[in-house]
Amino acid sequence: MTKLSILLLFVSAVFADTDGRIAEARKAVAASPDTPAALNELASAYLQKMRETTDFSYLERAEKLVDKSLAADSNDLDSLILRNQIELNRHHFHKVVENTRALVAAHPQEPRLWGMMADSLMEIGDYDGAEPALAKMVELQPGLSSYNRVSWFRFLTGDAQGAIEAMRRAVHASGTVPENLAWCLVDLGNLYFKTGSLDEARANYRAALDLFPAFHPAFAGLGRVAAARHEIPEAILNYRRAQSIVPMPEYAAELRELYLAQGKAAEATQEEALLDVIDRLAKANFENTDRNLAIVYADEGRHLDRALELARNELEFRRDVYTYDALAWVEFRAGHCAEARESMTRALERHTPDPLFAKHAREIAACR
Amino acid sequence: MKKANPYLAMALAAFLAAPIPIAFAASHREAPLTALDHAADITDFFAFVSYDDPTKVTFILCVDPLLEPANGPNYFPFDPDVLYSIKIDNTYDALEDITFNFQFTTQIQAPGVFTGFVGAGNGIGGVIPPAITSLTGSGSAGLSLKQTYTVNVVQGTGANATTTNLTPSTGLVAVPSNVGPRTMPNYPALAKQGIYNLGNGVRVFAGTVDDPFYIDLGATFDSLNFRPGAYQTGTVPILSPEDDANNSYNTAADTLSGFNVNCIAIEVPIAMVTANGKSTIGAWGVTSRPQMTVRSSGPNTSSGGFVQVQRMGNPLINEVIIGTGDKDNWSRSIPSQDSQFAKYALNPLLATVFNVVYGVQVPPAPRNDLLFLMQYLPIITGDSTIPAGPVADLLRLNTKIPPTPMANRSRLGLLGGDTAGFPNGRRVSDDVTDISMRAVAGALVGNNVRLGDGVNTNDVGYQETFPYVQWANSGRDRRHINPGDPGCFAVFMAPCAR
Repeated sequence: MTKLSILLLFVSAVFADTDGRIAEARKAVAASPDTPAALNELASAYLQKMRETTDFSYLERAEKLVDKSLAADSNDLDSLILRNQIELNRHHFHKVVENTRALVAAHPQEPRLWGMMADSLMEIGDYDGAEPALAKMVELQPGLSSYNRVSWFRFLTGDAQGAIEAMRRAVHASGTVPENLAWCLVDLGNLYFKTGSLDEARANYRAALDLFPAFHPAFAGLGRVAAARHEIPEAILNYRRAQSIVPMPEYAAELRELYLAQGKAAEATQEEALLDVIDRLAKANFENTDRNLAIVYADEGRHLDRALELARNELEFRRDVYTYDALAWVEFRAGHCAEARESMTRALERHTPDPLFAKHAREIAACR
Repeated sequence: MKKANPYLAMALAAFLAAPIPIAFAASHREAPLTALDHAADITDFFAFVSYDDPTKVTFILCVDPLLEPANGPNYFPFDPDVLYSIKIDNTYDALEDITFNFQFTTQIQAPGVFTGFVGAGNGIGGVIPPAITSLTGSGSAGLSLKQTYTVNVVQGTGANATTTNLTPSTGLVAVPSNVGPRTMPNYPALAKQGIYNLGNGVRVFAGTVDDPFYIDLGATFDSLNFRPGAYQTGTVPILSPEDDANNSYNTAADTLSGFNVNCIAIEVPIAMVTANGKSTIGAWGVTSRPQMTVRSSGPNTSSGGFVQVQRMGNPLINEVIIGTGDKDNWSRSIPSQDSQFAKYALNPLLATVFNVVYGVQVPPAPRNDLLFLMQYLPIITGDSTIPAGPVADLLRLNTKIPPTPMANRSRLGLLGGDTAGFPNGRRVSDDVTDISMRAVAGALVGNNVRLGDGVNTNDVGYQETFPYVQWANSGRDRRHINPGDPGCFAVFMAPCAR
C-alpha cells in the first residue's frame, strides 16, 4: 500500500472540475501504474470528459486503462462497471444485458449495475424487463442518476407529466458535476418542448448553459424553441453554436431547413454537403448504422437507399421505439407503405407521447 | 467539372490525421450513471452537552460542503426533496429510539426578481425593496427566496412509532446566506431571529452558517503532506509542544476559511433523549431522498417513503476508514449492521500509511483499541452495566459529563484530558483531524505522537451559546485564507505556513 491510496480516497469527492480530476488521477496513475483504484479513477474521469466533449478518443483511452485494471484484478467491481459503461458507449447492448445480469447475482446492492441493465434493456426495446431493474436502482439510490432514468422510462411508456415530475426531482438532486446537471436540465427542457411548454423549455436550456457553457444540446434546444416560434435568425444562431461545438447531423439538417425558409439556397446546399461528408466519413470507418442521419435523409428526400440501410442496420443493435420510428419514416419516404405502417405500429406500441411520432404516424396512415 | 468540396477536403484531412470512430453516429441516451449528491452530503455531525445549560444536549447536522458565500443569485438553500434526520439510540442496540426530522419548503416570493435576496436602505424607487432586516413581515420583502421548514419527533421505530409535530403554527424560517452589508445590514441580528424556542425546553435553528470544520484540506489530500513550520522536522507531521498546546491559533491555513455550509441545530432537555436512568446515548445524522416508483400512476405506485442516502456518526469514518469499494454501501446501510465493515476499523489503511510513509510505529492489526468509536465502552459510558451493543458507527455521548468551561477546553478532547470532548460526543471546536490521526497512530495504547495538520481552530471561532456555529460569511466580504496569507498564529495578521 502506498501513500497514493489515501489520496485516491478523496480525489473523486473533490474535483467537480473534470480537467482537475484528470490531472490528479494522472498523477495517481504515474505513481502507481498497476493499481485498479488509480486506473479506474482516471478511466472514469476520461468517460466524463468524453461526455463533455463528445470526443470518442477518450473512450479508447478509458478502455486501455480498464484493460490494465482488469489484468491486475479481474474481479474488481469498479473496473467491471467501467468495462460495461464502455460497452454501452459502443452500443453493445445485448452484451451489457448479459454482463450486468451475471454481475448483479454477486452484487445485488450496486445501483450502477441495475442502471446499466435498465439502459441497455430499454435500448433493445425490452421495456418490461427494464422496469424492475430501474425500480431496483431507484430503490437503492434515489438521486439524479436514477430519477433521470425513471423520467425517461415514464416518457417512453406514455406518461409525459410523470416524466416531467421525475426529471424535476433529478434536477433538484443536482449532483456535483456541472455537465450532469446540465444534462438533466436539457432533458427537462426537451420534455417541456415536446409537451408544448416553450417558455419552460427555453428557461431550462438557458439554465443548462449557465452551468455548462459549451453544452451543444442546450444550444440546439434554444434553436428548436426559436424555430418553433418562427424566430429564424435566432434559431440559426443557436444551431450554428451547437454545430460549432459538435457537428451532429441533425444540426446540419435543421440549419438546412432554416436557410431554405430564409431563401438562402447556397447556405442550405452547404449543409447538405456537410451531411454527405459526415456520412462519407462514417462509411470510411465501416459505420453503417445511424438512425438520426437516416431520418435526416428521409426528411430531405435524398439518398433514400442509404437511409434504409442506416435505419435497418440499427435494428441489429437496438429495437427501441425510436429506432422503429426512424425506420418507419424512412420506409414511408422510400415508398414502402406496408412496411412503414408495420414499423410505425411498433414505434407506437408504448404510447410514447413524442410529437414527432404523431406527425410521422399521421402521414404514414395516409400512405397508399 | 464539379468544384472540389471544401468540407470534404477538411474532413479528409481530419480523417487522415486520426481515425474518428463513431463521433457523429446516433448516440444512445447516456444519462449520468453516478452523481455525488451534494445537497444530501453530510459534512459534519455534532452532539454535546450545551455549554450554558448542563441539563440540555445540542445536536448539529451540517450538509452541503464548500459553499462559496459570493455564489449568488440563489445561494444554497436546503433541498426540499431531502429529509434531514437526527437519530438517537438510548437502549444500546444501535437502532433509533428517537428521531428528529426536518423538511424544507422553498417559496419564491417575487418571481420577477433576478436574485434570491435583494434590498438596500429604505428601498430604491419602488423597484429594490428595503434592506433585509427580518425573516418575516416588515423588513423581509427582499427575501425573494424564502425557506420554511417543519420539525417533528418520532418516538420508537416501525409500526409502534409515534410522531409529534413540533413546528409552531407561526412557522419556522431557515436563515439565508449572508449576501453582504447593503442587502443585510445587520446579519447577526437577522440570523438570531432564526433561533426558535419550541417550548418544553426545545430550541431549533436552520440556515447557512460559517463551516465550523477546520482542516488543512490541501495538505491532507496531498497524502498528508503537512507544512513546515507546523511541525518540528521536515518529514513527520509532528507538532512542537508549543503549537500542540494552543487551542486558539493556527500555523497552517484553514482551507475551509471563508466557506459556508448548511446546518440544522436542535437543543433538547437531556431527559427527552435518555432512557432507563442511563446517561449515555448514541446519535447519528441521516439524509434521505423520497423513494420513487418507476410508474407515476397505475397499480404499482404506492409511495415508498424515504431511502437513506448518507449517514454520519463519528467524523471521517466514511472518508478515511471505509474502503473505496464499500463507501456507497456504507452510506446506505444502517449502523447496527456495521460489523460487516469492522475489518476497515480494525486494520485501517491510514495506519499503514503512517507506518510506511512517516515511520510512525503504529500498533499491529487487529486494532481493537479503535473499537471505542464503534461500541458502548466504559471509557465513554463510565457505566459497566451498559452493554457494549453491536459494532456501530454512532457518536456516543455520556450526558452526565458537564460541559468544560472555555478556558479549560482542549481541542484534543479526551486525548487532551477534556472528558467533555470527542469522542465523548463531539463539540464544534474539537480537532477531530488531529485526534483521529493520533488515535489511528495508537494514542489509546500509549503511542502518543503529536500528529497534527497545524490547523487548531476555526478561522472565525465559534459562539458560546446556541447554535454555537458562527454566522455565515458575507458574500461581499468573505476571505479564503491561503498558504502564506496573513491569518495565522497568535497575531492575526501573521502569515500561515506555505
